Amino acid sequence: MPAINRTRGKDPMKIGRVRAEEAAAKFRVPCFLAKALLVAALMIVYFFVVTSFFQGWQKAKFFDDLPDLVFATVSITLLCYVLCMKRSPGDKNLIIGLSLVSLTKLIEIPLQELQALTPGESLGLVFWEPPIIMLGLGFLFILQYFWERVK
Amino acid sequence: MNDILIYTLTEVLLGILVLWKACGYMVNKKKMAVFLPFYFVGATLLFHAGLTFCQVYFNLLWFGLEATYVLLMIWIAKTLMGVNYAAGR
Repeated sequence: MPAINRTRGKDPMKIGRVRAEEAAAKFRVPCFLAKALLVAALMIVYFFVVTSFFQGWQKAKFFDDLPDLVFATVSITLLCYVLCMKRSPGDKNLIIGLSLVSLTKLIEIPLQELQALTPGESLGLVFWEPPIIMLGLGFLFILQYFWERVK
Repeated sequence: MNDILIYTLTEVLLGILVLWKACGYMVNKKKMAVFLPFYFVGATLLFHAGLTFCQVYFNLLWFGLEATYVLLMIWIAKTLMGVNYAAGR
Protein backbone atom coordinates (compact mmCIF):
# COMPACT_ATOMS: atom_id res chain seq x y z
CA MET A 1 0.00 0.00 0.00
CA PRO A 2 1.53 3.36 -1.00
CA ALA A 3 2.13 5.91 1.71
CA ILE A 4 -0.25 8.87 1.75
CA ASN A 5 1.44 12.25 1.38
CA ARG A 6 -0.24 14.29 4.10
CA THR A 7 2.18 17.19 3.91
CA ARG A 8 1.25 18.53 0.45
CA GLY A 9 0.09 22.14 0.47
CA LYS A 10 0.31 22.58 4.24
CA ASP A 11 2.04 25.03 6.50
CA PRO A 12 5.50 23.69 7.45
CA MET A 13 4.93 24.48 11.13
CA LYS A 14 1.70 22.54 11.01
CA ILE A 15 3.43 19.61 9.31
CA GLY A 16 5.88 19.42 12.17
CA ARG A 17 3.09 19.49 14.74
CA VAL A 18 1.12 16.79 12.92
CA ARG A 19 4.21 14.59 12.72
CA ALA A 20 4.94 15.14 16.41
CA GLU A 21 1.35 14.22 17.31
CA GLU A 22 1.54 11.07 15.18
CA ALA A 23 4.82 10.11 16.81
CA ALA A 24 3.36 10.74 20.27
CA ALA A 25 0.32 8.60 19.49
CA LYS A 26 2.58 5.83 18.19
CA PHE A 27 4.97 5.83 21.14
CA ARG A 28 2.55 6.39 24.01
CA VAL A 29 1.35 2.81 24.24
CA PRO A 30 4.78 1.11 23.99
CA CYS A 31 6.11 3.50 26.65
CA PHE A 32 3.22 2.57 28.91
CA LEU A 33 3.79 -1.13 28.28
CA ALA A 34 7.49 -0.74 29.00
CA LYS A 35 6.64 0.96 32.30
CA ALA A 36 4.17 -1.80 33.16
CA LEU A 37 6.73 -4.52 32.37
CA LEU A 38 9.42 -2.75 34.40
CA VAL A 39 7.09 -2.37 37.39
CA ALA A 40 6.01 -6.02 37.07
CA ALA A 41 9.66 -7.12 37.05
CA LEU A 42 10.35 -4.98 40.14
CA MET A 43 7.29 -6.50 41.87
CA ILE A 44 8.55 -10.03 41.19
CA VAL A 45 11.95 -9.08 42.66
CA TYR A 46 10.14 -7.52 45.66
CA PHE A 47 8.18 -10.76 46.17
CA PHE A 48 11.34 -12.90 46.18
CA VAL A 49 13.18 -10.49 48.50
CA VAL A 50 10.30 -10.23 50.99
CA THR A 51 9.56 -13.97 51.10
CA SER A 52 13.26 -14.74 51.60
CA PHE A 53 13.01 -13.06 55.03
CA PHE A 54 10.25 -15.49 56.07
CA GLN A 55 9.69 -19.06 54.83
CA GLY A 56 11.08 -18.68 51.31
CA TRP A 57 9.11 -18.31 48.09
CA GLN A 58 8.27 -22.03 47.94
CA LYS A 59 6.09 -21.77 51.06
CA ALA A 60 4.64 -18.31 50.34
CA LYS A 61 0.90 -17.64 50.60
CA PHE A 62 0.41 -17.47 46.84
CA PHE A 63 -3.38 -17.13 46.92
CA ASP A 64 -2.97 -13.92 48.89
CA ASP A 65 0.30 -12.63 47.45
CA LEU A 66 -0.31 -12.99 43.71
CA PRO A 67 -3.40 -10.73 43.52
CA ASP A 68 -1.64 -8.23 45.78
CA LEU A 69 1.35 -8.18 43.44
CA VAL A 70 -0.88 -7.66 40.38
CA PHE A 71 -2.84 -4.96 42.24
CA ALA A 72 0.41 -3.19 43.19
CA THR A 73 1.69 -3.50 39.60
CA VAL A 74 -1.47 -1.94 38.16
CA SER A 75 -1.59 0.90 40.69
CA ILE A 76 2.13 1.76 40.50
CA THR A 77 2.05 1.69 36.67
CA LEU A 78 -0.93 4.00 36.74
CA LEU A 79 0.88 6.25 39.22
CA CYS A 80 3.86 6.48 36.81
CA TYR A 81 1.43 7.25 33.98
CA VAL A 82 -0.28 9.99 35.98
CA LEU A 83 3.04 11.52 37.04
CA CYS A 84 4.11 11.70 33.37
CA MET A 85 0.83 13.32 32.30
CA LYS A 86 0.31 17.04 31.92
CA ARG A 87 -0.27 18.24 35.48
CA SER A 88 -3.31 20.08 36.76
CA PRO A 89 -4.34 21.05 40.35
CA GLY A 90 -6.83 18.21 40.79
CA ASP A 91 -4.22 15.53 40.10
CA LYS A 92 -3.03 15.68 43.72
CA ASN A 93 -6.01 13.60 44.87
CA LEU A 94 -5.31 10.92 42.28
CA ILE A 95 -1.61 10.75 43.14
CA ILE A 96 -2.34 10.49 46.89
CA GLY A 97 -5.04 7.85 46.28
CA LEU A 98 -2.90 5.68 44.03
CA SER A 99 0.08 5.98 46.41
CA LEU A 100 -2.06 4.87 49.36
CA VAL A 101 -3.53 1.94 47.45
CA SER A 102 -0.16 0.72 46.15
CA LEU A 103 1.50 1.19 49.55
CA THR A 104 -1.28 -0.87 51.17
CA LYS A 105 -0.64 -3.78 48.87
CA LEU A 106 3.13 -3.56 49.35
CA ILE A 107 2.68 -3.61 53.15
CA GLU A 108 0.21 -6.50 53.08
CA ILE A 109 2.65 -8.98 51.48
CA PRO A 110 5.15 -9.12 54.41
CA LEU A 111 2.26 -9.03 56.90
CA GLN A 112 0.68 -12.10 55.30
CA GLU A 113 4.02 -13.89 55.36
CA LEU A 114 4.44 -12.97 59.02
CA GLN A 115 0.96 -14.27 59.77
CA ALA A 116 1.78 -17.56 58.01
CA LEU A 117 4.50 -18.14 60.63
CA THR A 118 1.84 -18.27 63.37
CA PRO A 119 -0.79 -20.76 62.12
CA GLY A 120 -4.23 -20.51 63.63
CA GLU A 121 -3.66 -17.01 64.93
CA SER A 122 -4.10 -13.56 63.42
CA LEU A 123 -1.53 -10.82 63.84
CA GLY A 124 -3.97 -8.53 65.60
CA LEU A 125 -5.63 -5.19 65.15
CA VAL A 126 -2.47 -3.05 65.23
CA PHE A 127 -1.11 -4.76 62.11
CA TRP A 128 -4.24 -5.07 59.98
CA GLU A 129 -6.11 -1.85 60.76
CA PRO A 130 -3.72 0.65 59.01
CA PRO A 131 -3.70 -1.16 55.62
CA ILE A 132 -7.49 -1.40 55.39
CA ILE A 133 -7.91 2.27 56.36
CA MET A 134 -5.29 3.22 53.75
CA LEU A 135 -7.07 1.13 51.09
CA GLY A 136 -10.45 2.73 51.83
CA LEU A 137 -8.99 6.24 51.94
CA GLY A 138 -7.07 5.60 48.70
CA PHE A 139 -10.28 4.65 46.88
CA LEU A 140 -12.03 7.70 48.37
CA PHE A 141 -9.24 9.98 47.11
CA ILE A 142 -9.49 8.49 43.58
CA LEU A 143 -13.29 8.92 43.76
CA GLN A 144 -12.79 12.58 44.78
CA TYR A 145 -10.55 13.10 41.72
CA PHE A 146 -13.29 11.81 39.41
CA TRP A 147 -15.87 13.98 41.21
CA GLU A 148 -13.78 17.09 40.54
CA ARG A 149 -12.87 16.21 36.97
CA VAL A 150 -16.03 14.74 35.41
CA LYS A 151 -18.26 17.39 33.92
CA MET B 1 -12.67 -11.84 68.60
CA ASN B 2 -12.68 -8.22 69.71
CA ASP B 3 -9.97 -7.42 67.14
CA ILE B 4 -11.96 -8.95 64.31
CA LEU B 5 -15.08 -7.06 65.40
CA ILE B 6 -13.31 -3.69 65.28
CA TYR B 7 -11.61 -4.55 61.96
CA THR B 8 -14.94 -5.59 60.45
CA LEU B 9 -16.67 -2.45 61.70
CA THR B 10 -13.96 -0.23 60.15
CA GLU B 11 -14.29 -2.07 56.88
CA VAL B 12 -18.10 -1.84 56.90
CA LEU B 13 -17.90 1.90 57.60
CA LEU B 14 -15.42 2.45 54.75
CA GLY B 15 -17.46 0.24 52.40
CA ILE B 16 -20.68 2.11 53.17
CA LEU B 17 -18.88 5.46 52.75
CA VAL B 18 -17.52 4.49 49.31
CA LEU B 19 -20.92 3.06 48.25
CA TRP B 20 -22.81 6.13 49.49
CA LYS B 21 -20.46 8.60 47.79
CA ALA B 22 -20.38 6.60 44.53
CA CYS B 23 -24.20 6.45 44.45
CA GLY B 24 -24.45 10.17 45.23
CA TYR B 25 -21.97 11.10 42.51
CA MET B 26 -23.70 8.83 39.98
CA VAL B 27 -26.99 10.59 40.65
CA ASN B 28 -25.59 14.15 40.82
CA LYS B 29 -23.32 13.97 37.77
CA LYS B 30 -25.61 11.63 35.79
CA LYS B 31 -22.49 9.66 34.80
CA MET B 32 -22.99 6.04 35.74
CA ALA B 33 -20.07 4.49 33.83
CA VAL B 34 -17.37 6.53 35.60
CA PHE B 35 -18.55 5.85 39.14
CA LEU B 36 -19.77 2.27 38.69
CA PRO B 37 -16.39 0.63 39.55
CA PHE B 38 -16.39 2.52 42.87
CA TYR B 39 -19.86 1.14 43.62
CA PHE B 40 -18.42 -2.36 43.20
CA VAL B 41 -15.37 -1.42 45.29
CA GLY B 42 -17.73 -0.51 48.14
CA ALA B 43 -19.65 -3.77 47.67
CA THR B 44 -16.40 -5.76 47.63
CA LEU B 45 -15.24 -4.05 50.83
CA LEU B 46 -18.50 -5.11 52.51
CA PHE B 47 -18.10 -8.65 51.16
CA HIS B 48 -14.50 -8.66 52.46
CA ALA B 49 -15.81 -7.58 55.86
CA GLY B 50 -18.33 -10.41 55.85
CA LEU B 51 -15.71 -13.03 55.00
CA THR B 52 -13.34 -11.68 57.66
CA PHE B 53 -16.06 -11.67 60.31
CA CYS B 54 -16.94 -15.29 59.55
CA GLN B 55 -13.18 -16.07 59.37
CA VAL B 56 -13.53 -17.70 55.96
CA TYR B 57 -10.05 -17.79 54.48
CA PHE B 58 -10.37 -20.67 51.98
CA ASN B 59 -7.73 -20.37 49.28
CA LEU B 60 -9.93 -20.19 46.19
CA LEU B 61 -12.57 -17.94 47.79
CA TRP B 62 -9.96 -15.51 49.09
CA PHE B 63 -8.12 -15.56 45.75
CA GLY B 64 -11.39 -14.69 43.98
CA LEU B 65 -12.03 -11.80 46.37
CA GLU B 66 -8.56 -10.34 45.87
CA ALA B 67 -8.87 -10.85 42.11
CA THR B 68 -12.08 -8.79 42.21
CA TYR B 69 -10.09 -5.86 43.60
CA VAL B 70 -7.55 -6.27 40.77
CA LEU B 71 -10.28 -6.32 38.10
CA LEU B 72 -11.90 -3.22 39.60
CA MET B 73 -8.54 -1.44 39.66
CA ILE B 74 -8.00 -2.34 35.97
CA TRP B 75 -11.50 -0.99 35.24
CA ILE B 76 -10.66 2.30 37.00
CA ALA B 77 -7.33 2.45 35.14
CA LYS B 78 -9.07 1.88 31.81
CA THR B 79 -11.50 4.71 32.57
CA LEU B 80 -8.61 7.00 33.49
CA MET B 81 -6.59 6.18 30.39
CA GLY B 82 -9.43 6.13 27.90
CA VAL B 83 -10.54 9.66 28.73
CA ASN B 84 -7.78 11.97 29.84
CA TYR B 85 -9.76 14.22 32.19
CA ALA B 86 -6.59 16.06 33.24
CA ALA B 87 -6.03 17.30 29.68
CA GLY B 88 -9.65 18.45 29.49
CA ARG B 89 -10.64 16.14 26.66
